[in-house]
Amino acid sequence: MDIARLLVKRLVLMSTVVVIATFLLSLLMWMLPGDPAQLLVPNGTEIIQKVIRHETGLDRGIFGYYWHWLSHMLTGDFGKYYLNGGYREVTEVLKRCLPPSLFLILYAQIVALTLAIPLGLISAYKEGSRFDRIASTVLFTSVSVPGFALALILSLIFAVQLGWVDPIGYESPFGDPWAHFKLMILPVTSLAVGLTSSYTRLLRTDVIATLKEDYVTMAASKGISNRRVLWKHVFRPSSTTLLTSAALNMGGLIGGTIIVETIFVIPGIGYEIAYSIGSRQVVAMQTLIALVSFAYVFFNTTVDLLTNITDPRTRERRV
Amino acid sequence: MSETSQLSTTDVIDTPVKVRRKRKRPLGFYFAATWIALIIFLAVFGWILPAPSWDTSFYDSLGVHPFHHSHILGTTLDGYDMFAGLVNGARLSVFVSLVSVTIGGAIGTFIGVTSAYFRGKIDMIVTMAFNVMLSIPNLVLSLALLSVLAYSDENHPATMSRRVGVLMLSLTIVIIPILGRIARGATLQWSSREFVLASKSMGTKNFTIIRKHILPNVAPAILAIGFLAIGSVIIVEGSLAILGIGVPGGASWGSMLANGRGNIAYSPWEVYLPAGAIALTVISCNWFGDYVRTSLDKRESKI
Amino acid sequence: MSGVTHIVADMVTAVTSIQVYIFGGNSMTQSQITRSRVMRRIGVAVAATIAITTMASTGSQAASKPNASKYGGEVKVGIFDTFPGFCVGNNPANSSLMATRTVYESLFEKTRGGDYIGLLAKGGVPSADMKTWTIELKSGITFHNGEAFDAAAVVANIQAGAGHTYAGYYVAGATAAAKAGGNAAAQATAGATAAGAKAYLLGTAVPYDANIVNVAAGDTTHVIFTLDRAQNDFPGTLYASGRAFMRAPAQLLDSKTCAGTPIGTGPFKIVSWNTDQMIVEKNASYWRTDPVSGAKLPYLDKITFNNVKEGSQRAAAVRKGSVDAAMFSGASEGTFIKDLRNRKSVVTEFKSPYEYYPSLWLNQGKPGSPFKNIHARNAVLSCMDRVNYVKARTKGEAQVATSLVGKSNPMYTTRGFQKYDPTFAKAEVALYKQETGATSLTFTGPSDVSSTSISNSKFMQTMWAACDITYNFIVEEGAVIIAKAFNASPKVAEGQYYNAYDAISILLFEGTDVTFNLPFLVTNAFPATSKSPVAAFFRTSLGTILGLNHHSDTTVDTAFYAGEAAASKAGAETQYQNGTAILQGQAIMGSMLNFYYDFFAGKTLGGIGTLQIEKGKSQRLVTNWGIDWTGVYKK
Repeated sequence: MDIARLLVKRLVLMSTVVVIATFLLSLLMWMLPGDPAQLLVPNGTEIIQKVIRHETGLDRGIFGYYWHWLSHMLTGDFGKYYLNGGYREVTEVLKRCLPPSLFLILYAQIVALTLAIPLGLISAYKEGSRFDRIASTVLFTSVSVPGFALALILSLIFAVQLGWVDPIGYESPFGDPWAHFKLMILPVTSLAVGLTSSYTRLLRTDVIATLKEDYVTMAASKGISNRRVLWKHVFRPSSTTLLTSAALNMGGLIGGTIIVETIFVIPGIGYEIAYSIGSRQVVAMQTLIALVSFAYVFFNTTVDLLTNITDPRTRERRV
Repeated sequence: MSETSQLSTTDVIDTPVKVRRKRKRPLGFYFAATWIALIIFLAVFGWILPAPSWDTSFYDSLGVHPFHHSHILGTTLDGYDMFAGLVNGARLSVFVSLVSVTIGGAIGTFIGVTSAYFRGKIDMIVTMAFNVMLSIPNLVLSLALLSVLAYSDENHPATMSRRVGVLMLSLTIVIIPILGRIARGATLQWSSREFVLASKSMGTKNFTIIRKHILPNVAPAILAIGFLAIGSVIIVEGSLAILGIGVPGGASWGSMLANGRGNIAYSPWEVYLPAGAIALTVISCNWFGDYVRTSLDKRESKI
Repeated sequence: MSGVTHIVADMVTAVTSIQVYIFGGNSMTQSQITRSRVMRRIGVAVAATIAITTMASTGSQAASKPNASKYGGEVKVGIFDTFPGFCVGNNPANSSLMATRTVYESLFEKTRGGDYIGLLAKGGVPSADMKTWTIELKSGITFHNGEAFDAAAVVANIQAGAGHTYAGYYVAGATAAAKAGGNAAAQATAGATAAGAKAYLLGTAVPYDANIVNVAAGDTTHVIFTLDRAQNDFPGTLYASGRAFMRAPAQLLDSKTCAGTPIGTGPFKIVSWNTDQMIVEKNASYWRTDPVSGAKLPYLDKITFNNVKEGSQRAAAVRKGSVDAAMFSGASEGTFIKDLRNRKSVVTEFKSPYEYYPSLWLNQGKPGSPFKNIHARNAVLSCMDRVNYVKARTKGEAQVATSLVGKSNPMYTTRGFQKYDPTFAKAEVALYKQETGATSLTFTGPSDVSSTSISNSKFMQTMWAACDITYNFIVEEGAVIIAKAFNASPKVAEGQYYNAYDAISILLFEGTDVTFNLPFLVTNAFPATSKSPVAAFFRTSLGTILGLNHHSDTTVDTAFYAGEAAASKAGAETQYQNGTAILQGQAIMGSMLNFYYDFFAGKTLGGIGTLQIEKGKSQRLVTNWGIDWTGVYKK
């Protein structure tokens, strides 16, 4: 009962945020000087522009346009990229550009978590030690290095000068898995460095707090091996925060891959957003940004719901 | 955090680096202070230095190495002096980030503090508005804002000053919800403290309570996050330049990077130098912010 | 060094190639002129270099394995343009044109000697007045979808391209929309219904083909073209710098299939494409065989063309072997070309002649543009620091322009060409301000999003600023720039114009003849006297879009049309040069440099430029659209 109410409440909240955000996006597009149809097909004949204005609802005022766009989105019609002499469906483009982005994010998360868990555990366990101090400083510094600077420098050293991997491009893992992984190394590294620091610091703080809990002291005093205590009694309860943060990052990363995709020429959603802006495809641009924003809100809400359901205490903590 | 340059509030609040508390002023603080002072000095007094014009190409010294006798940090492959570019870029990068964080921080703080103090419907609306703005990754949001507000076409070419203005405006809009949320959270905490409740019951005016009791306590947290935000804004500015939407023509560090990245294999200093300047500034801002926050933690633990 | 070898190789082939195609009805004359001109230029060097060239070519032939092992293999190619779609309205630029040309073929091709030679056509014969051309087609060729390539298919293609088929839809749509009254939605619905999806199908081919009054099938292998004006180089129009594709009639049916699914007669078939990539696979039933060895074509199984905007990344990719070949532009990618040229053990260079002549088009038509005033034009054109531009922006890889076109073009003349003179430029700026009352000479132009293009624009901005001229550039995707520069239906009341920019630096002139250049030079594709059936529909829209200058000097038209109607090569050249002299003297347009296109291939590729169209007649090795992939194989 309680959970059902919570669910409804969150869903309503989530939809409201998404609706307002997408409406503001529409408004933003509406504010562009000049006629959007002219932007979409700059040398289209007047009649083509009329057709496009009608097709996109641009001839129906801002609210009419927004409603047109939203209702079509809900039925799975994501609009078009207009070309001189034709068009392409945004859904077609999405089918192509989502997988590279998802792989990129997934790998970055896996790499970051794999590194962050042992690093976080050890530095928390040896709090204040030389290892901890060095790790903290290095991680604190590396989290500050801009991703694009890292990407460019990695690309210069490993792709251009040493030639170990290809500087750009993307391969599907189903066609040529080896090429896929080789091409993914640099982009994933540039994404994962920051994530790793952020996760390690998160886990470290949490583990330090858990280590001070009575039950841990008790388990240790019972003579259970350190490794077992650390793993079973400390890591497991501490991992919730880490996983929450990782899940929250999913939404943000979808938009955040934009720079890495641009530098390494990976035809993902970030690359498409940049392209749609450069080529003034306002409808496609609105759809793509709306999807990113939806993903972000969706992950937030889901994580929030899950932590609420599994751990009712958080509800109070969060106020 | 990280790549997305998404400044997530949880990250900052949940991870105090306690190690640093042991020393009074960590080495990092001195380093950060020195670098920031240097950058500000260059930004303000850079024009005094005996460097060539950043905007003039030297056709006879294309792509010379750093430590060249007439170009201390070398030139780009197009013949622009790197040192002059960095000094000029410092001005723009520092100016843009300082202005947008200051204005965005002020507006965000005002909205956050007021809404949290008065609660009720205003708070609900403000929270919703913040959530809406935060639902779009900040790079994407500034990208969209910039491409619309600094829209440039053959009939309305956006001038440099307009671009810079719009860039600051976009970044300000991005900063408002980030700092606003921090201010709101901190105000919620403080406004339920005994001394605030006591003041209220004594009939002190709301405005006075906010000014005397809330703001002084909220300010340090905002200041700490503000420094992180400056770093973040510099990163976003660079990213926008790389995407070809920011300030063009090598006028900012990000723009130098964007121009030079095509030549990375032939004159790598075109990438190393501006990237290094950006990275050092961001690291310094973070260290500085961290120091402010640690001092704040200490003070609070004394209460 | 290898670049020099290649130019010489081109010239040698030019000398040995036999001309078939008629120039002004006198094939012998032209052949001899070409021969003597080339001979004179290379002079004694020939004897010395023939040895090198022969060694190079026999070397690669000797290394090639028996035919059977040439088949198969997949190749990746780095290019620098996006794919705009495949309909008549979509103009793929240089390197994406290379990819598009693996699927499509044109009626005519150009040999290394600069003559037109039949590809899908056997040949063409003009009438005595050069106003009727009969083109004979090769038989037994089919499109990828099984449709026969015959006279009817050619007629369908030409009528679609020239707007004859769809003019009706265009007019019907506009009329219906107008009748529907003020309600925008009703207008759109009515217009859309009347136009169908077919109004989408109009493009720059309409003005380009404006001289074609009628096209009809004689029988299945003969097509008869009736022209408005006499034209001695009509096969050149049917080549259109490699763009006059023959599409399957089924593709031309509606806008969705037309832009999205290319169906041609070429050696490769489309697998998939998007803005930055095109993948093609072998057409197993391709009609051509190697005229020398008789081998079935093509050799490769699959080619992937990837758009890699940044030259540095493209260069790194071909150097590391992550692409098998990559194309470069000598106009702005000199740094990468020079670097690759030094890596002879990794890549082989194939270079085009300096036959590409980008121009600065000063738009006189656009309201608000300063260039209606001749002092403004003089100021801008006499403030072009070509020497430093070539040095800084092309790393010395391009040649400083001395005319609107290069020396090998019949239009070439230095008469009236504006020299670099900042003092004169400043004086002209002052005169401009004085005459018009303007406070400054300010104009706007586009730059595409690549860092090289932005740097080029920045150079020009600084260069003009030194002469008190303000240049604002706008950064947009290449496809948007093209669309806005060639805008057929601007809303003039809202400040839009056919060419949206005050000035645009763009490559439209090329080659060793004038055929492709002419339509961009004249004031309107449809002169007042035009008997074209679509002249009335398009004179004020598509008819005006190719001439980016939008000048109104009809003496230019007269000169160039006279050249095209001339009976002898010498007569044509005189007229063309008079035309160029007017364009230069009236400061209608300017030019910074002449450049070449470069193609670097990894050592695994063979057969580049060796396939002949007919025995003894070779296609050009590298052009603006790169190389021909039909005869290329993987070693």
